[in-house]
Amino acid sequence: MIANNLTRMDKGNKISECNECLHALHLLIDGEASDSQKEFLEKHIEECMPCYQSYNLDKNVKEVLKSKIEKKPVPSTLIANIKDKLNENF
Amino acid sequence: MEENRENIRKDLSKAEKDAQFEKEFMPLIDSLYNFAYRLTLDEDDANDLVQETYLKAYRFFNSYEQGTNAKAWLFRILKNSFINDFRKKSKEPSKVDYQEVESYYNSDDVDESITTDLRIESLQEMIGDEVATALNALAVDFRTIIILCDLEGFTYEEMAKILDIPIGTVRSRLHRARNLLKEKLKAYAGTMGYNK
Ligand SMILES: [Zn+2]
Repeated sequence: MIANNLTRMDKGNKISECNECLHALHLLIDGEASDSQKEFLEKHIEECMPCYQSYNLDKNVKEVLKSKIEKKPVPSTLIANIKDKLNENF
Repeated sequence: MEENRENIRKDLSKAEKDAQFEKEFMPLIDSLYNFAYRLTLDEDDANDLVQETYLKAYRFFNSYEQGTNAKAWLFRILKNSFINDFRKKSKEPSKVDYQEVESYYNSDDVDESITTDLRIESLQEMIGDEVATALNALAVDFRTIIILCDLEGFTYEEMAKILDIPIGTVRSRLHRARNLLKEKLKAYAGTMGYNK
């Protein structure tokens, strides 16, 4: 694998880049990365398979949470109760 | 139309105030109820918590700047009510040690456990209830940050305000919460035979 060759070529650099990447990946997933962070992260995950896999898994977890957890319907009496309470108290 | 909003609002009649309250805050009841339910894991408690949130919001309506982030404001009130009134009586597992959480992410080492071997295929086979069970198994502070970020789509800055913590803490807590969630999901996938 390319990633393995890279590791052997420049192990120290690679590890610190991966550290930086793994600490900042959430910024990319959450749309919070600055332009320079985005550039670094996108380039790194394009070249580094383990980091790409981390990114892909975390991105999927986020999507699964959003798409699969069902919304609870608001109880039909709740809005009326709130309005009653507001009228009583204010 | 260049008048100070603050001044206009103080002169509102009760009817006008009610109309604005209704227009800005009531449409958010769905998100609030779901947040309350995910915190308390109980429908009656969620009901009470949302009622209390709206009563407090009405009481403090004057300190709310119109046109600003109504959703974040209400979520903050709800979260504080939960901590003050509900958390005490709930049987939550022991409080999370943030010292440990924070020092965990101040270290530069890549934690090996970050690369959980949870498979994306397993994840996608899971149904909503199973995913929710894994989320519910997290300590409430970790659960909260995931709800705010992933279910409600708040920004880090908004979460910092809702939770009264620095953005750096939002990041480290979110990071830790996601790793814990992946462990729960993986354990769940394992027992369901998804991870084979
Ligand atoms: Zn890497």
